[in-house]
Amino acid sequence: MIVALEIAVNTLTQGSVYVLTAIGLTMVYGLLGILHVAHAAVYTFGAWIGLISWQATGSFWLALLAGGAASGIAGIGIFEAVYRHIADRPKLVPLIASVGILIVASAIFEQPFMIGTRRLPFRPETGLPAIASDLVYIGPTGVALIIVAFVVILALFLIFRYTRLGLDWRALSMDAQMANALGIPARMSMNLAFFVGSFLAGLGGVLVAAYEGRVFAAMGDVVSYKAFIVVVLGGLGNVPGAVAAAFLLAFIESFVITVFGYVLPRDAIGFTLLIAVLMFRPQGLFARRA
Amino acid sequence: MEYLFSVGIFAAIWAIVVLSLNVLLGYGGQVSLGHAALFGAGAYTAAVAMTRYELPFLVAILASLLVTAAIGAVIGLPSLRVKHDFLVLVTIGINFIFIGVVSYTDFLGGTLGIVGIPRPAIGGLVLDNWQYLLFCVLLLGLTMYATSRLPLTWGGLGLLSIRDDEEAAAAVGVNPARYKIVAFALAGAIAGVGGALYAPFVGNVSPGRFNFIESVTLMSMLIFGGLGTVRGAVFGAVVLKTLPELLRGFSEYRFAIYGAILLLGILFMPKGVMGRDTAFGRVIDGWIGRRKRPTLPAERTVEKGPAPPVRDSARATQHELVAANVIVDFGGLRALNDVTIRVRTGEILGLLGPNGAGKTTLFNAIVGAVPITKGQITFDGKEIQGLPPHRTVRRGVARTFQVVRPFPSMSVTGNVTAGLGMPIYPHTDAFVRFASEGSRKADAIVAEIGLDGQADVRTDALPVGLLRMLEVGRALATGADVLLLDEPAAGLTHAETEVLAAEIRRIADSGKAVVLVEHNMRFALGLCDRVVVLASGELIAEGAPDEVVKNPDVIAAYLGDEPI
Repeated sequence: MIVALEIAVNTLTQGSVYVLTAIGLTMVYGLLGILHVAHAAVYTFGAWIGLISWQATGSFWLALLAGGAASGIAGIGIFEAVYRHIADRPKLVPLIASVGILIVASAIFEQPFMIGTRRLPFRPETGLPAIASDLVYIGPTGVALIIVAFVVILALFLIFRYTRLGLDWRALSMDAQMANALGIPARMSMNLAFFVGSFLAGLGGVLVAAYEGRVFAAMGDVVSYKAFIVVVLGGLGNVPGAVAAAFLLAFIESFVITVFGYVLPRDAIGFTLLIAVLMFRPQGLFARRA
Repeated sequence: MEYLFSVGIFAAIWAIVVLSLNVLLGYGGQVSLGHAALFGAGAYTAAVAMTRYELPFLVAILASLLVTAAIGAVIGLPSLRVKHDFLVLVTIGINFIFIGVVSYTDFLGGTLGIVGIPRPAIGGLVLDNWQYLLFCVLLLGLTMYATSRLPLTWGGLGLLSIRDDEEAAAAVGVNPARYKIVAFALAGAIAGVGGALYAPFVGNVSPGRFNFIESVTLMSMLIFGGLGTVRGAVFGAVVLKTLPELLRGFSEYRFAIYGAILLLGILFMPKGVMGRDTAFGRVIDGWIGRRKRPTLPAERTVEKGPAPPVRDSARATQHELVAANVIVDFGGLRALNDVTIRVRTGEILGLLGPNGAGKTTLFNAIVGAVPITKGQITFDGKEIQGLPPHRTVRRGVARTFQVVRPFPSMSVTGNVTAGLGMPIYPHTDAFVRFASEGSRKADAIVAEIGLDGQADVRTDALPVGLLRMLEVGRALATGADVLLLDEPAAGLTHAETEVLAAEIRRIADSGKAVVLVEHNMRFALGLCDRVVVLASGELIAEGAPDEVVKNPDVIAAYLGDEPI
């Protein structure tokens, strides 16, 4: 019973992290066909902005919004400065460029005027209650993480289902040229997609930093690789699939680690799963058709 | 001085590893962002061999080469199922799994790694840094020589052909799966040597040194220098490895520099500093070219003596291809319903029908590119259904593509040579003999299709009319007895069409069976001995061209049965 609860709590928190980071990635892939490795940098940037905003204002929720907004703008910047010009080049080109952005950004984060090589403490008050009983404990930041993730999921569902923007995104991801021909403003929609996806990554960065109580330059690395696993499991470009895959991956990792102990590092479990899925079901676990 | 030696040693080792990435990505077209795992596998193999088993240094190098080649072949397995972006993700994943496995294996020293690896020694003589630098440079030279010769071998040509176009490679008999695995195994072997040179020099190995960032670094060296070229790989590795070491003050910006080079390089200089078709590259080509320009077996010029008989009409044996009662379903859609065609040596069979009739699907079904639901395909009485395209062509049935698919990075002669059939492990003598025989055959075919004026031109610079001829020539080069030509006249001028018609007739007369998908009615009706008309997956008419055009069903299929 305790084991089951432990797995459930881990799945919920870790899954929320994956949701917030993976949605931006899967949207970018859906719209541009680019593996947006630099998403990790956007995430870390959001966490850092969140940290300074919190230091300046003392408000967690303001810091969360500031981190999200900063990341969103950074995402648009990456699209406008780099991706927009190379989306139709051979697939290797945007990928390598994206890796280049990530490495440059990580190196800049490590400079003393930004995050540096230290772990900066980040312990904001969220004002939310902790969920505490004899069996489980989720701290106030964990509660914030889960709530935000579920609000995001609901909001995205509404956007995709009921708004013009959601329809445009779906059309663009199916056939950008045709969508353009029909008068869908591609550049505007892409900018909005980058803003939304990166905004979510920024929220994720601030929330995870608060949850773990620290901000550090390399915090995005693992999350971004993990987000890729989620995106592939969900089917590249498939937003609902990514949401489901986020919790599935979190569950499998928690399950393996809780039940079998550390047979492999957490990351290696995810990547083993990734390779198995790519080999046997390359369209992802949740694709409607083969 | 000692310090400079060790910088040189690192540069040489990294150059070897980047050369291995060049074999994989530059030649084989398989992207890997987990290449540090292969490097690490080599280093760990050497470390284990020299500490746990106390094997001598040279034996450890050999062990690393073999073990890492095997690991490379296994790592290459996912490439048979997944491509492009997905393969990149898989290789990143492999990098993480490698680190995970090594960190959790006590035998490999866990996260701390293996320490106390003895200094490299040869025959009891422990090498000092100067001697070791010489040794590493020697091995680098060997690797450079071997990898620069690789594209000149038939096996190397196979790698280039799968990089350029997998489907077209299969159509000329190259097994893409086999060559991908070979690319990974070769890359593994070379990276393994690099690892084996690294471990005993540093004296210890730990998992963190072979992480994703190292993989990215290797990639940035290759892209910076020039993907696909030996000089580029070596230049990139040497410059990017030595610069940060020499400019000590910049060492904390090292990764920023790597990242910036990667980003700016791929954006503004995707061919690298010394890549193919770059100003620098051409200068170096010039230097080397003056002295000794390596020639593809395919490009080797031969005296234009009497062309060897590419085909022998008098003794041409009779062949027959039969596709009987073929049914092909795509999901719920029946693309071909109970279609039967047969074609014999010397005959030109036209396959006509409106768009979507199933003509190309029939070709795909015959060569094995799409599975057939029911039916039987036989060549000379032997069943060939279920064989993959690269085996079908070796049995004697070759095809061309509706949209031309030359190997863009190769010359005209190279394309034809790729069709000639390539043993993958050339024995030296046999290779030389085969090469000269092959190049004579290739030249003869190039002359026959009228492209001898463009023999050394890369095919990405040719107009579509010539490429159509080239595809016919490439199919001819496979030695197949049946040629399936998919709209060979599409996009051709009237004059070109006439030349093509004459050539196809000659090919048929020389002892080949030809099946022709065509929309150009005048061309098809004038050329074909017999035509078959498909509509909506059904065979609706068959017979001599002038009879079939009068068939009311055919007229209805093309023009509709409503009066216009």
